[in-house]
Amino acid sequence: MNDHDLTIDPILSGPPADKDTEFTRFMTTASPALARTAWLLCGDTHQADELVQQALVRTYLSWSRAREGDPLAYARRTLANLRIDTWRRRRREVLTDPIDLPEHGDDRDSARSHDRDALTRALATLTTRQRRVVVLRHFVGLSEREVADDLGISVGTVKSTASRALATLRAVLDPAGPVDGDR
Amino acid sequence: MDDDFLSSLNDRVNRAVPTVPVHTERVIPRARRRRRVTRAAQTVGVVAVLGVVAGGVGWAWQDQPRPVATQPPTVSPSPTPSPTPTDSPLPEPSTEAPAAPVETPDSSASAPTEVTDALPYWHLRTETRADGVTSVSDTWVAMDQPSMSTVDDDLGTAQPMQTARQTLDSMMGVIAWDGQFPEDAATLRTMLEEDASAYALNPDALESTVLLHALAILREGGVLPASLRQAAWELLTASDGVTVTPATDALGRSGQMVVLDADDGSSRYSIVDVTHYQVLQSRWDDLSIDILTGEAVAGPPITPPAIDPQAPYGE
Repeated sequence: MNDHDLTIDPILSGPPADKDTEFTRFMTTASPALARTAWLLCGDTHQADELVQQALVRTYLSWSRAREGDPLAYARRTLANLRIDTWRRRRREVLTDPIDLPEHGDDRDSARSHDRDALTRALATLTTRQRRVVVLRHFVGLSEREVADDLGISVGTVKSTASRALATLRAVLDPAGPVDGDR
Repeated sequence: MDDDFLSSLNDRVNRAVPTVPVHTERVIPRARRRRRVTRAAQTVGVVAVLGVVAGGVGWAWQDQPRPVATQPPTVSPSPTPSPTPTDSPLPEPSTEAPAAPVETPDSSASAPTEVTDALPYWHLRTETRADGVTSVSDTWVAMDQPSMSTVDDDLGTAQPMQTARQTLDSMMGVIAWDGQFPEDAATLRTMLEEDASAYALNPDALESTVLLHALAILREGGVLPASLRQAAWELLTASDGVTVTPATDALGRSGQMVVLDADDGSSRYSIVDVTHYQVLQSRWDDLSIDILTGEAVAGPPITPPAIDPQAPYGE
């Protein structure tokens, strides 16, 4: 299942509730999907928590507007547009060899841990916009039009950005695979 | 080919993404605090019209149709908070971490504009206005001492930051950068280009990477040597494709606006104080605006938390 399959309607059509109660129900339902998206955007659980909180804060402040449409889409759009600069730690992520990475002490599944490390490394090679596009388009499951609307860019930019981003990801994650241009 | 790769990639994502515990109990209290900050800023009645046309790109931003403020808004809690408008008569829930006062940097001429031995930290407060909502973040960065950031005046959100020297380390070419600060634009460009050449996946991104790093140096503010910041400014203004135009920021401060186009198609607009070579205000083309106020201080309000060695990338 991807995030796009979530339905928030029952929360809003349930028994009448004050704003905080209604919003708390929304948060409970929406936060796991938002957290997944946030982790893919930033690659760190603590920062993902912070990003989701920031997105939910903005959604709460605009709740009357957000609840009129699709509040999850509103929160996700806010999340995707939060400022996530990557240049500060770029040197470290590029130079750190996988063998030097500390083990995840709380993760007993080494294969999963390896996948996680590989995925964060691969996503870290993308520009901020590429990461946003590929996460929303391919990992959250939005249409190209929805991604374009969320990020305020054209559908054509979504297409070209996603294509370049996937080529980069494939070069990093699947270097033995087909070269760029086989699409 | 893409379908196969996408399918395996999604499988990989589904296996890899961890469960992220979200502290939703903090959201509503933070939202209420932010609403007070927004209203406090609006009460001051800042009007900023940057009706500047640069390189064919017009940038006009207006908040409230009120007179121009001659002093920056006080948007952080003071040690003795004055009443601020709120739509909720209820007291703040007690589940929040106690909010120790975060002092707003004084942007007046008397504020220390460079770090010193006695004031080794640069306290930079960033007020972000987007979609009618104002948020604030604070950073305390020293050249070599542990550094940190907070958001929304909440010390419970404290995160470690790289020191200024580590930030420079991440920008400079490892061969050219020997820890000596470049003091002219040509030397700085050589160092930034070496780094960008080594790590930019796309050669087309090299120049924009150099320019964005030069801008980042200006944004670091008074923690970096003035000669380095001046070199960064001269690098920017000597570059093709960078437009420079006189402008006034949202707080009425005068400067020069530079417009950079990044390799990903986005544009970045910054107003720079060319007396101190520090960024006053910046905006991406996502319609949010950052207003920066900085000063040298003795230290952050709490001991900075330690850096998580596993954090792969972040803000």
